[in-house]
Amino acid sequence: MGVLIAAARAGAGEGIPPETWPKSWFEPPKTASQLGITKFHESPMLAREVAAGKLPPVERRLPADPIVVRPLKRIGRYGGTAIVFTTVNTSLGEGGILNNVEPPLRIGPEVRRTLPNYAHKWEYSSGGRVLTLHLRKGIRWSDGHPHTAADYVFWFEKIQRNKDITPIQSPPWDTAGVTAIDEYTVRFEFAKPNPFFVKELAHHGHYYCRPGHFLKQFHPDFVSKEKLERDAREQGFQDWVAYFGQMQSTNDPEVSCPSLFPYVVRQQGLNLLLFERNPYYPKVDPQGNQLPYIDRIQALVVQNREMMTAKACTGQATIAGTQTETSDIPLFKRGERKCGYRTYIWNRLHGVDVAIQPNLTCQDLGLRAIFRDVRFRRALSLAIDRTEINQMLYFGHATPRQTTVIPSSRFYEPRFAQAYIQHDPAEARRLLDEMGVVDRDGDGRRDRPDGEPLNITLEWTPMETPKGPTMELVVEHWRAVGLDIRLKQLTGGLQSERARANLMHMTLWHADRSTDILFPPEPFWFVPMRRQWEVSIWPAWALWYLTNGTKGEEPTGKARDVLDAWIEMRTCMDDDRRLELGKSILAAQADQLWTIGTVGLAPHPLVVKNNLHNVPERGYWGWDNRWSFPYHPETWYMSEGDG
Amino acid sequence: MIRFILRRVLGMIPTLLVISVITFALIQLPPGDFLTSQLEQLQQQGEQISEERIAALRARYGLNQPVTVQYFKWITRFVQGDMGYSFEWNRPVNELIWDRLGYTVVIALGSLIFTWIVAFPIGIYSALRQYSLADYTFTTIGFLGLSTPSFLLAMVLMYLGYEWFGVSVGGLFSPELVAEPWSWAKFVDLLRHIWIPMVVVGMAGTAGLIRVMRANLLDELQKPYVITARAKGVGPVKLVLKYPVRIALNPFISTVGWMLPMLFSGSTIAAVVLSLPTTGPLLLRALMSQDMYLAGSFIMILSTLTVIGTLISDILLAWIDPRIRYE
Repeated sequence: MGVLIAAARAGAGEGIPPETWPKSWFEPPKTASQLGITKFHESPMLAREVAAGKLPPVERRLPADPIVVRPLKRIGRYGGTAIVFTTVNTSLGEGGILNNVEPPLRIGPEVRRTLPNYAHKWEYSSGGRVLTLHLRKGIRWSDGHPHTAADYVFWFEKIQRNKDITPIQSPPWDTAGVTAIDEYTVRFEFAKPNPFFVKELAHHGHYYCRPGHFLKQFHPDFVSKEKLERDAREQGFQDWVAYFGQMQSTNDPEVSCPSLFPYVVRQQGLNLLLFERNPYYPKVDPQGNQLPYIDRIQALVVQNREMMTAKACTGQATIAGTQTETSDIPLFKRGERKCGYRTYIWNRLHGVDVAIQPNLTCQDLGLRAIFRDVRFRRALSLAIDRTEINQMLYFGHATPRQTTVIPSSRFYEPRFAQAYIQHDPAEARRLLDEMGVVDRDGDGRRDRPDGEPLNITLEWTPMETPKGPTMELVVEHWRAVGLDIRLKQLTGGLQSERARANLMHMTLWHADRSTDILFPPEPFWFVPMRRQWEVSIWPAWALWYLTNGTKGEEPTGKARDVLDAWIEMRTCMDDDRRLELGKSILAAQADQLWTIGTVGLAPHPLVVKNNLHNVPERGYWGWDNRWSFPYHPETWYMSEGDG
Repeated sequence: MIRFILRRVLGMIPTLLVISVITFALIQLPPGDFLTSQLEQLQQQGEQISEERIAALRARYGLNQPVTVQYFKWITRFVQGDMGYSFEWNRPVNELIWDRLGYTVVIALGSLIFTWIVAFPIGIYSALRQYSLADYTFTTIGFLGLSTPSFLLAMVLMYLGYEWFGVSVGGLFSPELVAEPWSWAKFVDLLRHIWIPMVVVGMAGTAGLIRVMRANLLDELQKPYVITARAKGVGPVKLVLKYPVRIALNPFISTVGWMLPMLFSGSTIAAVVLSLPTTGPLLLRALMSQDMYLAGSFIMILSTLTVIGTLISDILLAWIDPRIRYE
């Protein structure tokens, strides 16, 4: 029972009190000189390498004035190997919780503010068209090469502007420029104001800089294309673009592309991926100890997420959380004492855990007409019994919701979350009857208005959130109103290809991008502005926007209105106007139901082994804050023994 | 004998040809497979580079040529050992399969040995002591083993292994030892884990074998030559082992060839449940992602091994039982 009470406390969208985390986590990080730290220390593992002459001493590896991070509770101890699980040997899987990203800016623990990180300052000028980023001096890539403004210019000129690597030049980059004012100052210049770029820099800004000193060995601007093509073939790649892509891998020890993150890859086997600490990581704790504390992350490959849960609940994982479910909480709680771990209940950031997407630009014109009829989408929503889903899969501790932003967002209004979420199968039937989707051949299933059988396949891939169990219930709810929709499970790779190729009837994903960090720059559940693997609401319309109208189809009706609203919003420097536009986009969703929500704001279990310390007991969990990113996983440490 | 083998080998060729055609049809059949999805996706980008990549992909897989040409392209490459390209993994198929073959063969051989060690003595014992308490006990266990799905058994054994012996759930090694180089401790750790897949994979086979052995031996033991031998005072061990057991072995030998594809594919469901790094889960994944060159290569290899296995069975049968005639 205590479990459920804990879950209740964590659930249902109420905020987490800010006292949960150190005050300094909300502020721009202090540096060593501000705190009077003059002596630096390192892990014994690195000290040995320094003694052997393989590495320069710690003072020469750290920047002159390193970033200082305060751990949650206490100064940690060096060493230990964290054991985590993954489903492929080419990705750290759960290890990403510990080896998180390091963009130029970062996200505050409450998932609203943006703070400095590897850049110490940023400023807008020219009415929001120019963003100047001031990088800290002396930060180095994991191979010791200095990290400078040139790395941003390399990304822009050699990757973003290269037509082979980036065939579609989309806004805003098609009319942008990235230049280095000096070694540590980057200037981003856009044709129109770009107020949301700061949010993007805080969430995935590391994406805009690449280790040019390393990658130029594989780029046709520096090496002949014939040689590259030949090398690519020899290595078993389709062409040089695929080869260049692989050479950016930080998960392949044979490539070992330099990184700015806390850990770098060392060893890869059929069953494992081993990462070791980055000797050049530029952050220290308040006593001058170079972070991270933990020496190694060892990711072991299992076949599926059920096995990841089994590993977590038997205490084999140092930390687990990327594939855990609300419904696993009792299982985790039961194993706590025997297997030596704790279960923390965090708040999931997803607006809804399953967001169902009919494809409005479906290649099947009959289905397209049906999906574009708002009555059909409302009927799909009204037929769903969200209370049943909430009771069966969340012990009643999630919230039945429509797809929209979470309550802590500035753009939130309760009516957005409550639109068409009541369970009303009679009204759903009436709407379907009214639009002529009725059973014509007497087999108990509704047919198309033209008399053809209504065959809809919903393709999906299992990842995070309980998508499979939810859909088993939803399909039954739909069947109750006469709609026979078939489920088809795909792997992630095929899902990606089929979504981007506009080959799906329907698909689903969890509605991340529901916070003030990612909703404004990437509102793709509500606006046709992206074409990627998790979204297949309107691939042809999105392509039209992304190619400036040269490919795809021009969006029509309300979808065109929200696209125009967002284009204004993303280039508008007036905050009040942006708020108004953002709300208009969400109001349109609440009326049109581009994507149909189920339940959201669920409690999220995190399994933490007893010997792992400094992990906050509460936090927000989702893509919008990259799970553990605001909570400084580099300051988590492992004690000897079982803690 | 040599003529017999030769004739059988020649007979394999048309079989394999038919199988290859069916396999190729399987590769071509599914709408929305990985390659066509990828082509469609590139097509939509429509820039010059994607046109080039589409052309390169089409040329590589001969998509603009007639189906017969595509088939010959595929089969000649396959015979030369180039099994094509896995789109999902972005690697050549050969690499993916070889990586996983070692553990697959070890587990399959282990479970085969487990099956034989358990099934032969029990089968013989049950036949000799028909309707004894032990016979009934083994029969009950045997039927349970036959009817329990392997995935269920896998889960039960994993649970018991963890509860009783503290063996980490899933996989072949304890988490601490996976990254270590081979050592005695690691070998012992492997033995502590590998018995679960061996028992799981071998269980159904064991139960079946016990039944077959028992039934065959019972038939043989009634025959006049056994009675005559016993009357002439042949010792009990020699009496049973020399002829009746040898003949009762025939059904084993005629199915031993099927072990060959099993060695290769592992037991897919058990491997998925137990999280083993074998080829079975790779095949399952290939089918789910419609990664048709990977899936097709698998099917072709499995079929080829079945055909070769059958040949081996035939040869062994002819060798062990001289009554089987070569004509």
